[in-house]
Amino acid sequence: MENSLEKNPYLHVGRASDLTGKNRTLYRVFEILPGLLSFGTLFGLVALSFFAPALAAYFTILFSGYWVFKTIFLSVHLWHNFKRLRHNMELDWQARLLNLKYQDILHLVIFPFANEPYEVLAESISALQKSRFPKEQIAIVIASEERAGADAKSTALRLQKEFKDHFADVIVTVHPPNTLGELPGKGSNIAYAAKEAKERILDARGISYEKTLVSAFDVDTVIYPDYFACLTWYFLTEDDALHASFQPVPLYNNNIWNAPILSRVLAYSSTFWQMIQQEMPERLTTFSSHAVSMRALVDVGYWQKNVVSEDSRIFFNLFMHYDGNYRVVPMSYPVSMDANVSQSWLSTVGSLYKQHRRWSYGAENIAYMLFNFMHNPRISFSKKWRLSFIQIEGFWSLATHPLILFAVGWLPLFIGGHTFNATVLSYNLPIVATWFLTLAMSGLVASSIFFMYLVPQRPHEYSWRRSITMALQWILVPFTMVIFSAIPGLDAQVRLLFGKYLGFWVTPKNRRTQPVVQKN
Amino acid sequence: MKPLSRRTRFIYLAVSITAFLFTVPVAVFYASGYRFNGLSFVETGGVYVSVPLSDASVFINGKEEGVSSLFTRSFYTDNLIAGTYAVQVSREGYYPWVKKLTVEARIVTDVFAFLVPQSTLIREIEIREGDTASTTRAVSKNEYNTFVKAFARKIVSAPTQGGMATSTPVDTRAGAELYIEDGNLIVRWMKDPQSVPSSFCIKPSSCVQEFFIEKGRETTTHAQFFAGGVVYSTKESGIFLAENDVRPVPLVVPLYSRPGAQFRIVNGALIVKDGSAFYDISGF
Repeated sequence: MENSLEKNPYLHVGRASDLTGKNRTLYRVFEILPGLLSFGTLFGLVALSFFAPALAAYFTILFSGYWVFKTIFLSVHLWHNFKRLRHNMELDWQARLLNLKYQDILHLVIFPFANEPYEVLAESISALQKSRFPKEQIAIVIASEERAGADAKSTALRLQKEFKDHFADVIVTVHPPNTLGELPGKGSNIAYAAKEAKERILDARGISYEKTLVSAFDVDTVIYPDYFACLTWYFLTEDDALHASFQPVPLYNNNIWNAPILSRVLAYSSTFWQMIQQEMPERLTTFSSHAVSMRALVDVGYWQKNVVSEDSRIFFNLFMHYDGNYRVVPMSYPVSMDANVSQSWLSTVGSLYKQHRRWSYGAENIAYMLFNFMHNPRISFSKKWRLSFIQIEGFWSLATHPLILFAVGWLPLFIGGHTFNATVLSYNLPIVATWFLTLAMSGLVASSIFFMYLVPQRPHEYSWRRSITMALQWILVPFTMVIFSAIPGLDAQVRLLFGKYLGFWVTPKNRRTQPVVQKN
Repeated sequence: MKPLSRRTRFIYLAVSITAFLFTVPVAVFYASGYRFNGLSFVETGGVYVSVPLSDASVFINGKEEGVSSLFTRSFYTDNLIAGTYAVQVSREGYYPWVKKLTVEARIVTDVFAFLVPQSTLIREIEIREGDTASTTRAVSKNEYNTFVKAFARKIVSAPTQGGMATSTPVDTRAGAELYIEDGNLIVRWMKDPQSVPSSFCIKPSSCVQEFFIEKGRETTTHAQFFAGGVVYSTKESGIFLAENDVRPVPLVVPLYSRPGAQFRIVNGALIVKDGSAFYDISGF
């Protein structure tokens, strides 16, 4: 880690206040950038609707058309990944390993854990037990938080005792609270856990860092039986695998049948977005449940401890550390996770909002990326340009596009004035825009079909009406796009804009019944 | 199974961009009112007819555009070459409403169909308790007194000075004011000229700030906005309901044809005083 920081003193910058002088100002400007672009776009369109409503109306038509073709373009990628995912789930990955030397590979699986119920973690570890990959090549790290108290510690020890004989090792790490320079949350916990595991398992047994793959799971990550065989296959067959992270597709199947409708739509919207990106590897950054070699983790100093978006930040850390020679390999193989479910409908809505705000807060990576690009001449200009464009456009579109489509784009009709309102353009704007939007909404039909294929079979306690609701739930997408994508996106960006930084928020893991996981 | 190759993705992208580049300009031209006619583009305009009632048929140049319903109270017809169009709205039991509208390129001419029932109910007002005959309306003494007071109020109708109105308007509604000057009834737009409604526009590009509802033929004694139009009385012929629209041909319907009859709008009802008797006219 010291070497990595000597090579790049800005490798673990979390926010502008970590820096001084001109660097601090520059980083601050980059923090402001996403919010400035998003609000600039929206306010610019409001102003255009007022002062030049015809231009604003043309823009809305152009934008609606763009949205249609973007939807079609992305749906084709989704469809292809859907086929690939199903194909990969049919393969016998363990058999594919037979011709490869995989016996010296160790999988270190980290479950960051705070106050979640025993059952959630037990379910996740039990799934590992059912893995077809040799369990003696899987070690588990139950990464607990000291601040979680005695009950959490007791749960961790109970799990260790219950499962330790079934795997290469099961260790419990206890992340100390209030450590200087750390943001309480998953990043600091798993960084601590990975370092502990390195010392207590790898160093103690002389296991190579290059042969160890670390999976940063969530506490509710439940694997399918061939997951580790699949991951091992990718690791062994990928060129220059030490300069790659491996990303599965998160299916939120654990509790999908008993999750509220909003949770289901949002969970699978996230899945579909991940599936689309799996067909666009150059756009892919690490997300929940990614895997990375211990070599890379040691080189980069583990996950960053002072940021909210550690899942994605680790990709940028590694990209900077290896001077742009780093990528994410899409596995097109799923893991199952929990859809967001809280104690009541209202608290679920609140949790969903906070979860999406936290994900949208990944916009903090933009400042980190641009700042490090400016200080790293070893990364090629084309890589810098491409990654910057992808990231900035991604967070800008997340926060602005739904609002343009469903609100701001229609403003010329309301504030365009008497003269504009008498034009054919004014009368035709809603007609033409509605054509395009209706066409774009056909993508929802595809979403509905893919969804019904990917969810587990309906549990017997639910009637066919539930299936109908699940097929029709996608009509809520325009609403969820605005309320749970654009608004939390802007919320996150405005916090960065004003330097009111977000802390880590742990998504509650509640299940009404036992999870349902099966191979489709 | 391999991920999408760069080549395949490039083809998808190229197809999407090409489709976008072909489709969107067509949509933009269409939305602006351009239509392909023969071998050239022509600029078109449109007509937007608002209908206040259900079951009314809307015709443009004799061609039925549709029938209004609870949920469909407006009809937008585009693709109209610039020119004059006859718009007609018909409903059983109502006077046929016909308007000659000028359509201009890339502009929508909007109009509100002024539907007046062919038969209204005229009932004499009496102070009486209990059941009443169908030709009379029973009111309490208090209510009767409000009618008496309403008619005791004098109507101000001052002459003009140098052609400009200095009189007090007899009624005001949504930026429009009614004036009686030299016995003529005038409606004036009092707000920003840029925001003048289409009822003041002979054609979309030619609007006026004021126009006559009654000019010269008879002497207007009083006027008020009522039932989507203007109700006014003349010394010579009685009480009329007229359309508040400059475009030809404004509909004027006699409501109470007795010279000297006066009217007031009291609590939303049209009350007529003829001699010493009060009448209620309803059914609009």
